Amino acid sequence: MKKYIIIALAAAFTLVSCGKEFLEKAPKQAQSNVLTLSTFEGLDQSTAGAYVSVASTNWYGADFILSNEMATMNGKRWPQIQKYNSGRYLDEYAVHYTQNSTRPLWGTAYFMILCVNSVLEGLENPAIVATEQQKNNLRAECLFLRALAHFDLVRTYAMPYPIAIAATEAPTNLGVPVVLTVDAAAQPARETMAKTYEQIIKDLLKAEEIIDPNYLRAGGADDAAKVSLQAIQALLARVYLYSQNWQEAANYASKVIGSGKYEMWTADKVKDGAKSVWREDARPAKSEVIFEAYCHPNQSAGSGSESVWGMTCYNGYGDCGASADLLNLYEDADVRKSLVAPDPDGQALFTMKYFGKGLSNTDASNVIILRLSEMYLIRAEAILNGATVTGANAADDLKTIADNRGATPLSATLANVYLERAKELAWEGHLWFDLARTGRAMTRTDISGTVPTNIPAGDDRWAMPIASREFTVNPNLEQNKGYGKN
Amino acid sequence: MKNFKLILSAAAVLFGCFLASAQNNIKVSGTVKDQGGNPLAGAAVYVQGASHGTSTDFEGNYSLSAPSNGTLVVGMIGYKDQIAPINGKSTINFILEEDAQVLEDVIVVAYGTTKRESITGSVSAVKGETLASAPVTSVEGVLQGKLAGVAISTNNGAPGANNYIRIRGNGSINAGNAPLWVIDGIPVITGPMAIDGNDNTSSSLTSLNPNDIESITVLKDAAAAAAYGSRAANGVILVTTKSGKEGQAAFTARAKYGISWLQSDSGFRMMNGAELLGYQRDAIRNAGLDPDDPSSAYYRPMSLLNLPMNNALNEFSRIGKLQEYEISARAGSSRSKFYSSFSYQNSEGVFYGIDFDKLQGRVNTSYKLLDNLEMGVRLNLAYSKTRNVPMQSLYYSNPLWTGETLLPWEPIKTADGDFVGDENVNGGANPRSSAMYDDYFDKMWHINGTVNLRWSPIKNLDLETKNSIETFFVNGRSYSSPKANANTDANDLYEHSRQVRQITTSNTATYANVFGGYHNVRAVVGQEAMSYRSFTYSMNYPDADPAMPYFNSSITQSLSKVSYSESEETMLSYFGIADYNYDNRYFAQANIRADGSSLFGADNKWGTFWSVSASWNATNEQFLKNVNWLDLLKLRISYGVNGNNGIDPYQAYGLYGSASYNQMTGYGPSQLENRLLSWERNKTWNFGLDFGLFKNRLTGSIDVYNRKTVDLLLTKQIPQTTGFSSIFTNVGSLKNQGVELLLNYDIIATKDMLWSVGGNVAFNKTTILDLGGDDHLGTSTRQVVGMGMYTYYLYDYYGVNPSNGEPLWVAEDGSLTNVYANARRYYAGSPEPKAVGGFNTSFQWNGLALSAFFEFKAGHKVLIWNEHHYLESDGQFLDMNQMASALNYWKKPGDTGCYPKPVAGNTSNSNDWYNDRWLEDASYLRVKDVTLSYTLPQKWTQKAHMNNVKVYVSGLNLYCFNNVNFWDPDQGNTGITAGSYPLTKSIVGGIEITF
Repeated sequence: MKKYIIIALAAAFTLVSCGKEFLEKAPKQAQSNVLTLSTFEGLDQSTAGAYVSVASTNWYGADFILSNEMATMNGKRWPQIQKYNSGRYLDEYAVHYTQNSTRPLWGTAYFMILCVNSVLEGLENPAIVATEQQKNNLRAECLFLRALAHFDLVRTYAMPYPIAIAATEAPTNLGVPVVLTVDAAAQPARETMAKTYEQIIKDLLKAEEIIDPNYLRAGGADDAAKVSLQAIQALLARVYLYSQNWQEAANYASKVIGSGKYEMWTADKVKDGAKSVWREDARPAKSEVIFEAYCHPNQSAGSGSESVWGMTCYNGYGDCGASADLLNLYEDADVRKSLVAPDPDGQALFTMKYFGKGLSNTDASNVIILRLSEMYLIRAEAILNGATVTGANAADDLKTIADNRGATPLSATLANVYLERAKELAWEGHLWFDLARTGRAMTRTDISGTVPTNIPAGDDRWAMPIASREFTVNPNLEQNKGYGKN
Repeated sequence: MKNFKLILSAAAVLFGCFLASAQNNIKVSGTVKDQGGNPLAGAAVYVQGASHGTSTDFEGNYSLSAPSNGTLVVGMIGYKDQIAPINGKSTINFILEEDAQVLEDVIVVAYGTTKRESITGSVSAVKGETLASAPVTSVEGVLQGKLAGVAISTNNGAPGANNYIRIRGNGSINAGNAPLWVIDGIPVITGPMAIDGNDNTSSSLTSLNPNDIESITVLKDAAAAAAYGSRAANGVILVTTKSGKEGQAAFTARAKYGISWLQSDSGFRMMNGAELLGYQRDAIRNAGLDPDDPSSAYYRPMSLLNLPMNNALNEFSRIGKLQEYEISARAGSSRSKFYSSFSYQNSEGVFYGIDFDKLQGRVNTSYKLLDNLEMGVRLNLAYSKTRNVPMQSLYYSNPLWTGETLLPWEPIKTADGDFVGDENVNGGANPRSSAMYDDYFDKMWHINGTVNLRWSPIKNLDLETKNSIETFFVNGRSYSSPKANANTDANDLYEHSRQVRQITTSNTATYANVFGGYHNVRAVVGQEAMSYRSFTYSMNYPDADPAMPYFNSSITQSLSKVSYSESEETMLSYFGIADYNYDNRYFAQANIRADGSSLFGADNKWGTFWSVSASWNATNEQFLKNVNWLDLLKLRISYGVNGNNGIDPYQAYGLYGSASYNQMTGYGPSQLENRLLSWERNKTWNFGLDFGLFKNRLTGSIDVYNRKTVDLLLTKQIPQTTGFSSIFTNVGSLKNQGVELLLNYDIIATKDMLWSVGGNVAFNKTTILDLGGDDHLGTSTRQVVGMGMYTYYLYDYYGVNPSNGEPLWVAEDGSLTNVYANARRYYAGSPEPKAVGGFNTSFQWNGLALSAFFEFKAGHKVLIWNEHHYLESDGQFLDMNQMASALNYWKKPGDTGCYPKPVAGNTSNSNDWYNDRWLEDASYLRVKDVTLSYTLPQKWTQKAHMNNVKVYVSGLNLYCFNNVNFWDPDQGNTGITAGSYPLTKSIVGGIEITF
C-alpha cells in the first residue's frame, strides 16, 4: 500500500517537471513574431502584408491623395450643397494644420517601415530555407516599400527639397527620421534632407540591383500592385527628379519607357470620364500603370466611404470636389476634360478618376502611384534642365502626351512641362509637391469659403507639422518652423 | 520524484536533529482524547523544560522517551493544556478539556490553520454562523461592511450579478483590483461569466452556497497573503466549506421566501403628466414658440392631459420574489466524515423579464484509508439560468430607462391591453413585450471538484496533495422578436457558448512541532501548478425566421457572423512558509514563493515574492500576568512583496495577425514584443495592535498600512517611428495608505441575555505616483498623478444667471461665462470613499434574537451623468419625461439656487455630460439588515423529534440615508452607471429545522 502512495505522491510532485514548456503558451489566433519571421513562407507573407499600408486611408487609400489635391487648385469643397458637406477635409482645403491636427501619414508609413524592416532582419537568419534570389526578391520589395515610405514622409513633413538642401540650419535643412532597424526603444532624430534622400536612393538602387528582372509576387488579382523592376526604376526616376539629379532622372525614365511593358492610353480610352480607362475593369491588358495601390472592400484597407472613392464620388460623401480652375485647363478637344465632370444635378464638379469598380454599396478605386505618362513628363523636364538622352527630346515627349489626349502639343519649355503635368496628373497627388519642388506658389481662384488663394514659395505651410505626441515621447525630434511642439 | 526525495530528506534532517539526545530515560506512551472520548490527533506532547517533543497520531496515541521524574505537558489548539508528572509510569492517558474561548479562534490561513493568537499579519475572519444568519443570496454580499478594509460595491443590483470587492483600495490601473478567492485551498475563477449583453451578470461565485461555508478569512497585508505570491497583491479571500463532524448525523432543512421592490430613499422620482406638460410648455415659450400652435413641431396643448396617463415605471417593474430551499446533512465517524447540501433558488427581479434560477449541490467527504492516510473529495455542482432584458445601458428596451423616459401620455399598451412595440413610440421598443417575446438568457453549468490525499508518514509531518478541476460551460442566447422591436434589430439572433477549465495541483509538506515546551515551529514547503483554458464563440444571424428563430441546420447566408476567441494561461509555483513562536509571546513568520507564469515576457517569466512578519503578545509576559482587566495586548508588524498578474494572456508576445491585400493573405504586426513584461509588485508595510479588555468583553484591533504598487502595467506611449504608438509595459507606481479600526463590546453577557455592539471603519487613500511620464490617463474619468484612482475632469458649472435664467460657468480666469466651451475644466472629485465601514448590534434573550446591521461609505462622489443628461435636460429632450427635481427651474428674474430655465431644443450644453452639476456627494448610511429570529425551546422541538427550529424575518437594505438624486447611491467602482438595475429593498422570512 505504502509503495503506491509514494508513487502517487511522487507523481503529483513531478506532474509539472516539464517547467519551461509548461509556461510557454503562445496565442493561437495570431502568430508570434518569432514564429512568423522564422520561415521563408512567413517572411513572404509578411512582405505581402506590408503592402496593406500603401492602400491605407491614411496614405494612398485616401488622405495622402486627397489632402494634397485639396490644398491646390485641383480641389474644391462644395459646402452649399448639404450632401457634400459632411465636415471632412476642411483643414486640408484650408491648408490649416497644427501639431495637434496634422496628417496621419507619419504613423502609417513608419508602421510599414517596421513591417519591411522586420522582414529584412528576418531574411538575414541563416536558417531560412530559400534560394538567394528568392530572398533577394523579398529584399527588393521591402527596400522599394521602405524607400516609398521615407520618400512620401519627407515630401510631407519636411520643407521642399531645394529650400532644405540649401539651408544650413535645423529645422529647415531637415528631412525625416530614417528608420532601418527594428527597435521598440528607439528615439530617432530627423536626418538632414541630403541624408534622407541618400538613403532613399540607396534602398532603390540596391533593390534594382538584386531583384530578378522578371520577378512579380505570385498570386493576387492585380500585378500592377506588386513591386517590379520597372516600379523600382520609375520611383528612382521620380526621386532623382525631386533631388534635381536630372541626368539620372532622365536615364531611369528612359529605362521604364524602353522596357516595352507599358503602353500609353489612347484618347478614345480616356474620353468617357467615369467609364474610361480609369476604371480598373476598363483597362487594356497592356496599360500605363507601373505601380498602384490596390483598393477593394474585402481587404484590410483602402475602401469604403472614407476612401478616395468615397470622398471624391458624388455617390459617396463627396466632400472632395474638383474646381473650375482645373476644368478650365483643358481645351474642349482634350479628352481629359471628361475626367472633371459635374454631378447628376450639375451643381458640383468632381474628378472622375476614382469612380469605383461597380462592386457594391461599399466600393473602392485603385490609386495609381506610378504610370507611364509621368515617365515622359519626367524625361521632358530633365532634358529641359540639361539632361541628355540619345534619341529623345522634350518636345517629342510632350507630344506623346498631347497626341494621346486629343490635345494640342505644347512647345518645349519648363512652364509647359509643368502645365502638362498639371493637366495629366491632376488628382493623382502630384501638384502640391510639384509646386513645392519647383519653388512656385500655390494659387487658385475658384474657391469656396475663406481658404487661402496664394501660398507663396518658402511659406512654412509647405512642411506639415509633426504631431505633438511624438515630442513627448522622443526628445531628439525637432518640429518644423511655424509650428509648436505641444 | 526528485523534488519528493528532497523534501523527505530535508524533513528527515529536521526531525532527526531533535530526536538525538535521549538518555537515562524511560519510554512513556498513552492516548490523548477529548471529553467525549474521541482520540485527538496532532496534540503536542513534551517534557516540561526540555527539548523533547512529539505529537499524537491519528488514533491519539503518543510515545516518547522522558526522564522518569519529569513532567509531561500536552497541548493542542482548541484545548486547555494538561500537565502530568511521570513518576516512573510508562502509560499516561490524557483527557483534554475544550477551551471554548480558544476554539473560536482557530482560523484558516494560507496553507493551514492557526490560532488567532499567532497571527502576525493583517487578517479578518468571519465564521459560518455569521454568514448564514443573514438571508442573502450571494457570498460577497455577506461580507459587506463586516470586515474592516473590505469595500464592496456593485453597479448592478440584479440577482446573480457580480460585486466588486476591494481590499484596501485600488492598487492597479490595468492588472485588476479583485482579490484572489481560494476555496478549500484551491484558487478559483471569479468574475461574471455571461458572454454578451448585460455587463456583469452570471457571477461565477453564485455557485457557492453561503450556507455551505464554515469560515471566510480575508488576508489583507503582504505577510498574510504572500504565500499566494503573484496573485496576492489585491488580498486573498480564503473560503472553507463545511466538513462532516464526528457524532450523530444531523439534517438541516431551510426554506425562505421574500419579496423585493424598487424604492428611492432620497426623494427621487419622475414628473407626472401635469408637471411635465407645465415644464414643456414653459420650455417651448422660452424658445419663443407657442405650445398651442398645432403646426409647430413643439405642439403641446393642455388637452394632452385628457389622454389616459401612464406611469411607465409601474408597468415595467413589479414586486420581485425570492424563494430558496435547501437540505443539508452532516455526519461522521472516527474514520469518515460527510457533508452534503442541495439547494434551489429562484429570484424574480423587480423588472419583468429578469429572473434567476439556481440549482446547486455539494458533497464534502473524507475517509481515513489508514491511520495515517486520509483521502477526501469536495465537489460542488451548480446550474444557473439568468434571464435578462437589456439593461446597463440606455437601450429603448431597458425597462428602467424607458420607465423613466416614456412620456406619461404615450401609450404602453394597445387598445386590447397588449404590450407591443409601436414604431412611433420609444424607438419601436416596448420593454414589457421584450420581456415576453425576446429570448435573452445565459445558462451556466459550473463544476468544481477537488480530490485530496493526506499522508503522515512520520509524526509531525503531513504530506498533502490537492488536485482540482474547475469547469464552466455557458450557453447564451439572444433573439429580438419583431413583436417587441417594431423598428430595429428585429430577428437579430445570437447564440453564444463559452467553455472554461482550470486544473490545479497543490502539493505541500507541513511539519509542525513544539520543542522544549516553548519553541513552536511550523514549516510548509509546497509546489503548485495551474493550467487555464477558455474559449468563446458567438454566432450571429441578423435575419432569423421569426417562425423558427433558431439557427437552421445549415445556414448559408453570408450575413451570418461567427466570432471566436481562445486563451490559455499556465502557472508553476514553489513556496515555503515558516512559523515560529516562543512561549506564545514572540511570533515570527516568513513566506517565500516563486511563480512562473505564461502571461509574461520570455525574459521575465519567473518572479519571487516574499514577506516577513512578527508579533509580540504582551499579555503572556510575566509582568502583565497580574493585570486582570487586560486579556490581550498584541503588537504586529509585517513587510512583504506581492505580485499582481491580472492581465490578459499573450500581451508579452510580438504578434502578427492576418492582413489581406490584393486578394492575397499576408501577415502584419499587430503587437510589439515585450520580453521584459512582468508582474506589478506591491510592497506593503503593516502595523497592527489587537486588544481585549475586561474579560474580553471589549475587543478590538487597529491596523495601519502603506501599500506601494510599483512596475504598474500600463500602455506606454512610444514614438510612432517604431511602427507602433504604444507598448504594454511595466512603468509607473501608486500607493494606498490607510487605517482600519475594529471594535466589539458585549454590553450584557449573562446566561440568558446577550447584547453586543460592534463596528469597523477603514480609511484608505490611493495616490498615483507615476504614470511613466504621462501626467494623466483617460479623458473625463482620469488617473492623475498625485490623485486617486479615479478623478472626474469636469466643466465648472456655476449656476443660473438670476437675471435671465441662462446657465453660467466659471471660465479659466475666474470670470463667469454663458458659453460652455469657455468654461474651465478641473478635477472635480472622486468616487473612491474616504471611509468605509459598518456597525451592528445584536440582542439575544433566550431563543429570541434581534440584530441590526448598518453599512456606510463616506467622502466620495458619484456622477449620474448618463441619466441627468437626458432627464434634467433643461428642455433639450422634450420627447423624454424628466426628473421631478428639474421642476426647480428659473421662472423670474431674481431666482437663484435653481436650474436654468428650460428652453425647447436647449443648445446651451447646460445638460452636457461633463458638467460638475451632476456631481453628487454619495456618502450613505444603509440599514443593511434587520433580522428578528426565534429559536423554539428545545423541550418543544424534541417532542417533534427536531433538534432545533428557528424562524426569522429579515429586512434587507430597508432604508438608505443619502442625498443622491437617483435610485441608490451605490454606483459601482467608478461612480458612473447607465440604466443599471438599482439595489432594491427586500423582506425575507424563513425557517430552519435541524433534525
